[in-house]
Amino acid sequence: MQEKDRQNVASLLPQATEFDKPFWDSLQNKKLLIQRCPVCGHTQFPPSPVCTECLSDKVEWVECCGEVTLWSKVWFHKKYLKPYDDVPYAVITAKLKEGHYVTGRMDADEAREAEFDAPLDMEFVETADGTVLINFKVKK
Amino acid sequence: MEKFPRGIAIAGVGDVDYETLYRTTKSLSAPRDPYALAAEAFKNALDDCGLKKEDIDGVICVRDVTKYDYFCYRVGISKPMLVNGLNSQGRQSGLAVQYAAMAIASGQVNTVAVVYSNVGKSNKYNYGSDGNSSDPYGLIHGMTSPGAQHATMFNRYRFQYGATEEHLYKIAEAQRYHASLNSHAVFKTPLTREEYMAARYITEPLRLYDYCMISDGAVCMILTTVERARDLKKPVVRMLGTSTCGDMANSYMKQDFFYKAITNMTEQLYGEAGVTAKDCDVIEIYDNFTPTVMYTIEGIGLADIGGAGDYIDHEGLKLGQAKKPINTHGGHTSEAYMQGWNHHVECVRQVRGECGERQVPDCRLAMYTCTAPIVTGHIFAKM
Repeated sequence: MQEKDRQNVASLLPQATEFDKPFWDSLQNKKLLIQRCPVCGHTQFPPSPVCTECLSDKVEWVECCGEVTLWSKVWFHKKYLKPYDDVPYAVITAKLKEGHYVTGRMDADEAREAEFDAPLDMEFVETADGTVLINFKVKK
Repeated sequence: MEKFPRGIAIAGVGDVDYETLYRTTKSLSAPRDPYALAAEAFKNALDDCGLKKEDIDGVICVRDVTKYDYFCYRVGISKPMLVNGLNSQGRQSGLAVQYAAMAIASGQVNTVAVVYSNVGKSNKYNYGSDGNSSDPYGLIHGMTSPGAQHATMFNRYRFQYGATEEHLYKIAEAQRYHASLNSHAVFKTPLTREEYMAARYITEPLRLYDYCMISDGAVCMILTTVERARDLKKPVVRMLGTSTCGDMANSYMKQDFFYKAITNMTEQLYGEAGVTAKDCDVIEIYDNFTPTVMYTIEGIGLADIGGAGDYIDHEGLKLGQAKKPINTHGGHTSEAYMQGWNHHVECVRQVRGECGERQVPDCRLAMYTCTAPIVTGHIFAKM
C-alpha cells in the first residue's frame, strides 16, 4: 500500500499537549523537530518539557539536520492497527546524526534490501486523511 | 537481623495448575475471577509453609488483584499493617518480592504475602494495539507492542553480534523440553526445528514461539524472617541478594540491549550475595520474548556482550546437558505467562529439591532475573 492510500491514520495520533503541540504542528508542515537547550547546548529527542541535562525550561524546537542512518527494521505480520492492515509492512528505527532515534516508515520490499547503518533520505508523505508521516528511503 | 537481605526467607509458595486452567478455558460460561485464583494460590502458599492467614501482617497485591482491599476482604484479612497494590507489568514480580523483604527487614511487619493473579486468557486480553512500549511518535508510523520493540532490538543485535534465529530456536526448544517434565506446564509437546522455523512471524524477525503465551493463573509467595522460617514446614530458602536498576527512556527499546542496567543491578546483587551467576546452579530468566534471555545471559556475566549465542551453542541451556540450566520450568513460552512469578516459584522449589523429574542435582543457589525497564534480580540459597 502506498502511504497516500492509507486511511484514518489520524486515529493513531496522541492527544497533543501544550508542550508537544509544536512537534505535531511541524510534522504536519513536513518538518521533524528535535529540541535544543539554549543554556547548555544539549539536544534531545523524544522531547521533554525541560532540558534533560540541566532542567532549563527554555528548550527550543529546532529542525534536525536530516542526516539519518538505518539502525534497525522490522516487519509486522500480525494486524494490530486498523490503518495498517497491509501486512507485512515495515517499520524503521532511524538514527539521527544528532544521536537520537526516530521511528518511521519504509516500503516493505525496500526494507529487505536496506543495509544496517546505510544512509537514508527522510521524506514526508501525506496519507489519505492528510496526516503527514515520516518515510525513509535508502540514499541512492 | 543479619545484613539485608540475608535475614529474609521465602517461607511458602503457592500456585495453581496452569495446564488444566488453559485446557478448560473454552468450556467456561464466564471469564475466571482473578480473586478466586489468587485465593487458591494464597491458600496453597499458607499450606506449603504451615502458617495461618492470621500470621500474615503484610499483603502486596499485583496485576489483576490490584484492588488490595477486595483481595484482603475476600480472604478474610481485615487489618494488615502493610498493604498495597502494584500494576500489571511483569517487572513488578521481582519488585514486589524485594519490597516485601525490605518491609520485613525494617521491622514494620513480620510476614508478608505477595499475591499475583492473571486472567488474560479467559478474558481474551489482546495485547499490543495501543502503542504501549513504543516511543510516543511511533504509533502513527505503525509501531506498536513490546514484541515489536524486541524484534527491532533483536534485528540490530544479530547484525552487530552475529546471533541467528537458530539461537532463539534453541531457547524455545529447551524451555519446551523443560515444560515436558512439568505436569502444570501449558505446552509440553516437544518443539522441532521444523515447527519453529515454519511458525508464523508475529513481528519479523520474531516468530510465534519467541513470544510468551497468554494464560490464566495465580501465584503467592510468603516471606518472613529466617528466624521465623526455621520453625515452619519447609526447608529455609534464604534471600542472599536482591537488587534493581531502572533503564529509563521514552521507549522500551535500548540501544545497548539493557547491558548497562543489568550490570549495574548485578554489581549490587553480587556484592550483597557474595556469589555471582557463575556460582548459581540454576538461573530463571524472565522471558517475555526469547531474545531477552540472550541479553540477560550477557548482562549477568555468563558471557561478554554479544557472546550469548556462543554461550548457548557451547554451554547450553538444558537440564542434563548444561552445567547451569536456564528456565527449568518452561518459562513464559511453555509453562505459563505468570510474569516472572512462576520463575520465582521455580527458584524456591529447585533450592528445596522439590522439582522431581526436572530437579537440578544438588541445587544450592538459584538466581532470578528480569530484564525490562526496571531490571531486577535475586539470588536464593539453601540454608
